Amino acid sequence: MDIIEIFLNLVDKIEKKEILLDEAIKEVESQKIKDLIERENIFKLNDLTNSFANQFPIKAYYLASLTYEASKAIEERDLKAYSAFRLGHSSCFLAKYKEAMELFEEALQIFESLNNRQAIGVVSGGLGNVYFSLGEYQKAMDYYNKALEIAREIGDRQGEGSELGNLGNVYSSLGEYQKAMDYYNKALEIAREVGDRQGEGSQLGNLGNVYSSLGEYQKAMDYYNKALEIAREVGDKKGVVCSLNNIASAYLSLEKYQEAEEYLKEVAMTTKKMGDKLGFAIVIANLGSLYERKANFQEAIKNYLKASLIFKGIGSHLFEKILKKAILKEKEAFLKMENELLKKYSGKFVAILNGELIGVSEDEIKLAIKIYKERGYVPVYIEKVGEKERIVEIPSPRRG
Amino acid sequence: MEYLYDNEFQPPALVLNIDVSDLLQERRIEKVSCKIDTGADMTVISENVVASLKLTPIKIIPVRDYYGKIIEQELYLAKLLLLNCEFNVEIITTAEKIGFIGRDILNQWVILLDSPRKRFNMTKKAWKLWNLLIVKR
Repeated sequence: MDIIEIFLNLVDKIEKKEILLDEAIKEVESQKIKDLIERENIFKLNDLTNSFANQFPIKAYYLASLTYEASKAIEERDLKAYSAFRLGHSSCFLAKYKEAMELFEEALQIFESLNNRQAIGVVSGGLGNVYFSLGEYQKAMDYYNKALEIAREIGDRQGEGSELGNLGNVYSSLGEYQKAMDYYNKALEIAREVGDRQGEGSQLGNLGNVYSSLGEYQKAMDYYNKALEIAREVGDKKGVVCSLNNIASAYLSLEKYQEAEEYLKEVAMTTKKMGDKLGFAIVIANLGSLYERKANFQEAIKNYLKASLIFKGIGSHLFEKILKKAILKEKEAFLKMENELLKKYSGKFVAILNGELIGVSEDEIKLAIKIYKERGYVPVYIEKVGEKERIVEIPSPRRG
Repeated sequence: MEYLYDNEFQPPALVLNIDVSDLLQERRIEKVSCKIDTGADMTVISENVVASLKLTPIKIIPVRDYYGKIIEQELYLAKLLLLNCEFNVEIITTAEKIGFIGRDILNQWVILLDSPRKRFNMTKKAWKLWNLLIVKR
């Protein structure tokens, strides 16, 4: 059995819960396997990880973890850095951003000591993506600028375009739409100049997103359709899915629910065919949101739960992050109505869902049980009216 | 009930295996290892257990950690079963495999440590009744 088969078998065992990841790592570190590991194998394993990333994110993560540990056996620093970068990349697919950050920083440090400019640029871009996902836009911008500078320095035009697009994303998230548009247009120009059709499609999609944020849905739709056309032309399945999803979102904003549903169902079908579980879970959650807007709560809950099961099945923390956002939104609603609630329910627990008060009780647990029985495990916000927020002390050393 | 210290930890620690379920008891995870932690205000359960139970958070609370840093964490409600008693409690999560039983639960028990013999004893808090004095005339 060759080393790649051994690793894939271990991944299979972890997935079937026959062994734990830690146990598999110990096996990889055993002398028997260590002797078989060569530089070439590590590169092959890392490439394999990359090809799994979209379709099988959790498999990719396990394989990247084993490869990263194996890379330590070969005392070549560039290999360790490359493996750390790949594992960080896989962690991003599972929304494990903290872990990704640590790994990217480790890779960056090594590449910097080796003065590998190209790799420093790529890893900086990766760190930018992590900070962007965490909403730390200033840090994201710093890393994207570093990556842009290096791309220009080494004459990597495609990389330059991609970093300009990323900077556009930051400005767009900050609500600076004109600046975002400038960056996207520069990136679009470069993509066209170097004949990067996929990049051209991405930037058209990004420009569509800006128009959508400005409420110009028809214009947004024109850009999305152009992006869709290119994605189909070059066989960029991910781009097709993204464009279809964007078009559905624009229809949703225009309250054209029928059209939005048709597009979302097409996305669901495409992602399922592609085996893109993460994409499929996201579109199912989006369908849930569509049904919620149509006040079809039964169908909405069904879709949310289905999405949550898929997210958890692939080990993604994305759903937890969505849930956290939902709870924070309900908290905002609670704070808005707090004065009103204080007059009527001081000292009692209240439950807020979809910005509305749905229950009051003197007992937090009884209130939660009643709501869960009636509506399933919905993200309901429960708070004691008039109680000062206390800080919970957990002084034991722990992660998270 | 008497328990042995867990020698997997150095120095040996007080560890209990508890069952955790969602409030409606649709799902249940058995034998979740938790250290007894009198320093913790609240019980902490591994995030993998919470994810498997598909719990949804009810709010975000500030938590002060080991370094004195305040972090925001999701608060969940869960049912814990330990020593044949059920507790519906608020919990937070940890990335560690092992959880911590905090004072929210511990304060309801009498715990006697016999550290030289690596044993500890846990019993439900005994409520002392007043003696009824009958005064004869």
